[in-house]
Order: sequence, then C-alpha cells, then structure tokens
Amino acid sequence: MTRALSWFFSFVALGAVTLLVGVFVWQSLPVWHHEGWHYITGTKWFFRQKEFGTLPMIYGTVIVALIALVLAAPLGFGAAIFTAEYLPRRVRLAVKVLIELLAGVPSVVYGLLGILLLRDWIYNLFEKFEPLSGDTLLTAGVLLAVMILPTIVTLSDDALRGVSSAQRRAARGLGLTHAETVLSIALPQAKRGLGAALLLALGRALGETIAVFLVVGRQDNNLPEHVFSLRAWLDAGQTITSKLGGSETNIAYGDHVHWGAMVGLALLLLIMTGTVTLLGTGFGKRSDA
Amino acid sequence: MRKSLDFLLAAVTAFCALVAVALLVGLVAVIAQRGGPAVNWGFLTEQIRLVGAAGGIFWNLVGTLILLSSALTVCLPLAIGLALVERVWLQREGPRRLLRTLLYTLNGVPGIVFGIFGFVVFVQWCGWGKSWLSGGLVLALMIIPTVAVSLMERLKAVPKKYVEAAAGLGLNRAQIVWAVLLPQAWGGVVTGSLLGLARAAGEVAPIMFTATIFAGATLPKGIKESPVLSLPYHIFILAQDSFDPSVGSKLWGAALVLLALVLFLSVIALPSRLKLHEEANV
Amino acid sequence: MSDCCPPPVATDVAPILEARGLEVRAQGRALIREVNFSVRPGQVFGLIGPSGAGKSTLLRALNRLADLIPGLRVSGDVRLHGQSIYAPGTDVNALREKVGMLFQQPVVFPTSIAENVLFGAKRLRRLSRGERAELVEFALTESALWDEVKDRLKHPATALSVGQQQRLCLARTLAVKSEVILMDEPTSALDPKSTQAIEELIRRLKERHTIVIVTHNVSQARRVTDWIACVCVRDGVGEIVESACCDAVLDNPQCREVIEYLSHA
Ligand SMILES: Nc1ncnc2c1ncn2[C@@H]1O[C@H](COP(=O)(O)OP(=O)(O)O)[C@@H](O)[C@H]1O
Ligand SMILES: [Mg+2]
Repeated sequence: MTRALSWFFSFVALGAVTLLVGVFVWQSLPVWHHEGWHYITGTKWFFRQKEFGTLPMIYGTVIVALIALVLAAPLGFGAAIFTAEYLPRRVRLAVKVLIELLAGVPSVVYGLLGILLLRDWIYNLFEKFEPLSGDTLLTAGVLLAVMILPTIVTLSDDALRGVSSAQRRAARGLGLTHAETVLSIALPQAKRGLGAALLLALGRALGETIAVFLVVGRQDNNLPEHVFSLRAWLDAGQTITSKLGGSETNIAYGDHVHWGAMVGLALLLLIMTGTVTLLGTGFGKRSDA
Repeated sequence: MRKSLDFLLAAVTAFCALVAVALLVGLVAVIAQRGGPAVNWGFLTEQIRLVGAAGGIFWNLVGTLILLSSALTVCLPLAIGLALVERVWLQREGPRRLLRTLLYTLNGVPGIVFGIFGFVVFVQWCGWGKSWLSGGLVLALMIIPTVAVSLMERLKAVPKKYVEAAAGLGLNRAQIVWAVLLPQAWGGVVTGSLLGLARAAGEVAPIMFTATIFAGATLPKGIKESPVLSLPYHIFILAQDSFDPSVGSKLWGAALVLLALVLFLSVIALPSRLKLHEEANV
Repeated sequence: MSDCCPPPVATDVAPILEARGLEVRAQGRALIREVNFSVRPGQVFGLIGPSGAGKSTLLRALNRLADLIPGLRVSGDVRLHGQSIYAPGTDVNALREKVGMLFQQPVVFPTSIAENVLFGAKRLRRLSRGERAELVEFALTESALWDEVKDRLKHPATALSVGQQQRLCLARTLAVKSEVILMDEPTSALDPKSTQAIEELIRRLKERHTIVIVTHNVSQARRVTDWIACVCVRDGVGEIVESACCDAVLDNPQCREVIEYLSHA
C-alpha cells in the first residue's frame, strides 16, 4: 500500500514533468514549420507580418547573464574564499546564513530596487554615452549580478569547505603561507565545485524573468553590430524571459504560428537553462567522488 | 614577496566579503526604511483602493496565502512519494541517479516556463481561466524538487542501526517507512516545505498568466474564472507605474511585507538546517 | 619534571629543540602542562604514552601547527637553536619549514609524485628545472622510494600504497630541508613491510636530522629511539612523567603510570 502510493504519486509528478516538456515541443511545432532554422537565426520579430526571428532575444538573454556572471563571479569567489578559509567556524556559519537568507529575496523586490534606484544610477553614471534611458541591458546585468551573488558565494563556500583540512594542514606543515595554501590546495581541489557554482548561477541568471522585465527596456529587434561593446549594452533590449512576461503572451494564444513562436521561446529557454543546470550538477557531483 | 601576497589575499577577499554582505544587507535596509512608514494595522487589513494609492493589501495577503496553501497541499504527497521511491523503493543506483538528476533539473527550470505551462494546460485546456487552483498547481510543481530533495537528504541521514533494529523486529519495508524513516526524517519535509513556500511566495512569473489579477477579487467561489489578488503581482504592477508618489509609499510597504513573509519562512526553517550543517561538519 | 625521574643527562652539545614549561589549553582546560625537555641534534627523541594523553597536541605545539586549530592556547616556551619560536615577530612559515611534520595518516596532494616532492620546496626557494629534477631524486632516494617510483614520477601520487605515500610525505619534508622532523605515529597506519622501511629510514636520517617521534609501539620505540619521554595523564592533564634514555625507561620504569602503561602495551 505504502509502496503503491509512493509509486503512484511519483508517476503523477513525473507525468507532469513529461507533460511539461511535451507541451513545449508540441505547441511550438507550428513555428518550426513556419520559420525553420530561421526561427533561431532570424533577427526580426514582427508578429503582424508573421516574422519570428529570435536571435536578438537570445543575444539579450545571453549577454545579460554574462554581464551578471562577470560582475558577480570575482566578488562571489573572493567572498567565499574569505568565509571558507579565513573566518572561524561560527562566524562563517553566521555569514553564510545571512547570505543564504538574502538568496531568497523575491525577484520582484530586486526589480523594484532596480526600477527605483539602479536605473537612475546607471543613467547618471554613463551619461556621456547618452543612453536613451536607464532601462538598458547593462542595468539588467548589474541587477542580476546582485541577485546571483548569494548563489555563487554559498555554493563556492561549500566547495571550498569540501577540501579536506588534512591537506591544508600538511601544506602549512611544509611552511607554506596561508595564501599559498589557499591558492595551491583549496582552489585547485575545489575547482569543479567552483565551476558548478558558476554554472548554477548562470542558470538562474538565464531564467530570471521579473527583475529583468522591469529594467531591460523590452526593446524588440535590438541586435547591435558589436555585441561586446559597452555602448551596445547601454541600449534597451529584450530577453527571452522579458518577452514571455509581456502582454504579447496573452495576445498570441489563438494564432497558431504566433503562439508557437512564444512557446518556442520558452522551449529555447528550457533547453538553455536545462543544459546549464545539468552541466552544473554533473560537474559538482564528480568533485565529491 | 610571499608575506605581502599572504596579506594581499586576506585583504582582498575580506573586502569582497564585506561588499557582498553590505550589498545584501543594504538592500534589506532600503526596503525597511522606505516601506516602514506605510505598514500599519490598517495597511494589512484594508482592501486596495484608488489603484493602489490608498487602502491596504488585505486581499493580496489572503490571495497569496490561498496560493501557498493549495500549492503545499498538492506538493506534499508528490514530493514525499518521490523521495520514498528514490530512497526506499528503487534498489538500483542507475534509476535513482536518473530521478535525482531529473529533480535537480526541474529545480533549475525558470518560473516563467511553469507559468506558460500552466497557462496552456489549466487556463486554456481545462478552461479554468485565471484561477487560484491553476496557480496552486503550478507553484506545487515548481517547489516539488525543494521538498523532495530536502526529505531525501534527511532520509539518507537516518542512522542505519535504527533501520536494522526495526528490520530485526520483523517489520517489513512499509512498516519501517512509517515507524522509523518518516518520523526520523520529518524535519526534512518541514524544512523543504518552508523553503519551497518562501520561494513560491515571492514568485510572479508562474502566476501572472494563471492565477492572479491586480484588483477586484476577494475570496474565490469556485474553480473556473476565480482569480485571486496576490502580493508579488501587486508589487510587480505598481512598480511599472511608480511615478505617482502616493503609490510609492504603499508600494514600498507591500514590498516590505512580502520580504518579511519570505524571510520569516526561511528563518523558521533555519534551526533544523543548522543542525544538519553541524552534523555534516562533525 | 616529575619527582620520580632523574634529571636529564647533561651533554656538552647545545640542544636543538627545547620545551620550557609548555602548556596547552583548550576551552579553559589544560590538555598538557609543565612539559620540559631538550632534544640534541641528531637524536631520535621518542614520546610514548597512552592514547589521549596529549602526545599529538604536544607535537603540534612544537612547530606551531597548534596555532591553526581553533580554541587551542599555548603558553610556556619552545626554543629552536635557543630562539623562542613563540616570540613575537617569529616567521611561523619559516619555522615550519625548518621543523617538518609527518602525520599518522599520510596526506599526499592530488598531483603527480614529483610535484608532491616539490610542493613546498618550489615555493620556498627559486629552483631551476635541473635543480628540481635533482631535488626530486635526492629526496626520493633519501626516503628510500626512488627505486620504486623513478619510472613514474609524473603519475598521480594518490595511486601509491599507503606505505609509499608515507615515504613520499617524508620526501616532501626532506625536500624543504627540514632540520627537525616531527612524526606522529608515522607507522600505525602501515603494513609491517612499510613500517620496517620507515624505521630503517629513521635510523639513517638521524645522521643529518633530528627526529621527534610519537609511537604507540614499545618495541618500535626500543628499535629507533635514543631517548624517551613518557606522557601520562595525571589529575586529568597530560604530563611528562618520566624521561630517560631508551632502555632505562623501557626496562626499568620508575613511575607507577609508566609501569602500568608498559604492562598493557
Ligand atoms: N582542539 C581540541 N579541543 C579540545 N580538546 C582537544 C583538542 N584536541 C585534542 N583534544 C583533547 O586532548 C587530549 C589529547 O589528545 P591527543 O593529543 O590527540 O592525544 P594522543 O595523541 O596522545 O592520543 C584528548 O583528550 C583530546 O580529546
Ligand atoms: Mg595522537
């Protein structure tokens, strides 16, 4: 009886997950028929003209997440090295608890702070580039950086603490300094875990919707010539998530191809975050072994 | 040279840690400072008026609680079932690992994907329209990994000797589950649920197309076309036209209440998580 | 020193390492107290005594590894070449370079065998490629491992047997040119053959190094040590209750605790 119930509920849950993937594949079929590969490589999205190219949104999603990662990774690693390697155990736990609590701050709250503070700061700070407003890809990236910082810190800290203290003691016994021990023992041995922390944080950044939605500007069809230029990042843009969060989702249902294009976006997102998460967990796991 | 490197690393990393903590604490402080004045008894018990510029957030709180409790009710049996299957009923490591990987992946699925999924299945196919139940179901699916993984970790930590002692008394597996494993690992369900709820309480993306509207809903009377108000969606909508100063203070107030709710849920999950931490460190 | 022990035999050689009134406390409780001894250059100095008496703690205080264990407080003094190692301004890392440590469980780093040997040395000194190769061969030869591993210096060190790993740890310490080597039950995790290899090494190394060794094994103490201090628990605190040349302690113990310990060991 217990066994049957366990299996039953598990199958319900697994069924729901299967249905989830199935729905996205199946519902997006029309747009694949309509656009083919052009759906991914196309640079123009005009739904009235039935033109659905998602490249600018893929660009927006990736660039915003990368900006976040580049900003948050050094800071997060540094903080994790300090908590794991320098702080006494009790203080470390306290700092970790604090940081983990803050990892749970809802994204709409981050979004609110982004709208009311960060937007103006970015606008003023980069005034000489003459951005049209404070709603830019860079704003979204900076906001995401703050949001994924706790994830990076706490997972990296775990990875570093996973390195056996006997190794550290042996290195100190040879006369290596604290810093040398960190750099030659702790970091190299934790590198898989640190990589996993980055990947999982990247997954979170790619999929974040609400905070990005509020500050990215939601400007369709923005694909600059030079993707790695500060000026380009100071334009408004669109990410997959900000597109999905907008009102177009409500309009699209009913039109097969248009709806397929929207669901296709979700499928792309699912594939991107799924890959990154899977890599991240696989990566981290092997470091424990 | 070696000495200065030693000092440099300590100084640089300490600075990073300080910045990280200051950033996050500062963020909470800003919300508290701006939202504090708006929060009072009336704010919590009155209904919304003048598009958020006046009144309170009573029905938003109620709506969020309805969503959370329905999500938890649906999630619990599924998550417990999954955890038991993984730890107790599956015998081989291969399928177990597959199940775990699936849960980790599900944990990484963005909220908006759940939202679109719920929109297709519940709102359109089932024809419920925006309904509290669609929201609850979607949120339930979203927090299954949190609860299941938390319980799995606790089940793993149950000392072997208890299981062996129970088996020695002639209990079968199902009896061991009820008599030993679940009572010992129940803390995992509680912790996981609290953390899951903390996450669900703050999410907008899964419920914006499935369950919640900005104004004009109170207690739902059925399933079809019975949306609720909710706290995070309220903030989300108001944030987009935050230029009206009278909305401003209410907006910060709502953000403070939401933040307090989420932090409260995570804080009561703390003691048992810390205990696990301590045990893991011994 | 305890009342039932004869004073240590005075020699004309200056001690290389001495402890003076050494005490280690943790959470307000003393773990060891009133530890006094002198180790002469080239001596193998044995520490024996029951489990939990504080031998490992004492050893860690001798090269300030105890500093790294939170909660431990060391008072009293330890002198290396007459210089206090607890004096303010002491370069702790340079100290640990001179006073190396071998642990009960060998700790090899997850890199190649050669890298393990060079792990400390290449950071402490500037070494050319040729010097590195030379140093690896020298240290591995000294630790009697060269013949076994000379064909696979680039292989991972973790693949070695535990006995070989312990000798690799010794090679690593020799490569940084330690003068004093502290060994904490270095053979208790090893098989008889590796144990024998380590014991032979100790006898050979004492020509150029000074060794302080904690051992659980009385016959080992008899085989390798010149001088023995016995650490026993008195009133709940570890003390050196008897200290004399090897045979004197083992054959003719004076203290009640030592007699009891030897009769069980
Ligand atoms: N960091 C510490 N804090 C408190 N007590 C400790 C600590 N380290 C060791 N002890 C205690 O000190 C005593 C001596 O331990 P140890 O030096 O390992 O003994 P031995 O090596 O002789 O077996 C033990 O009772 C142990 O519990
Ligand atoms: Mg010991």
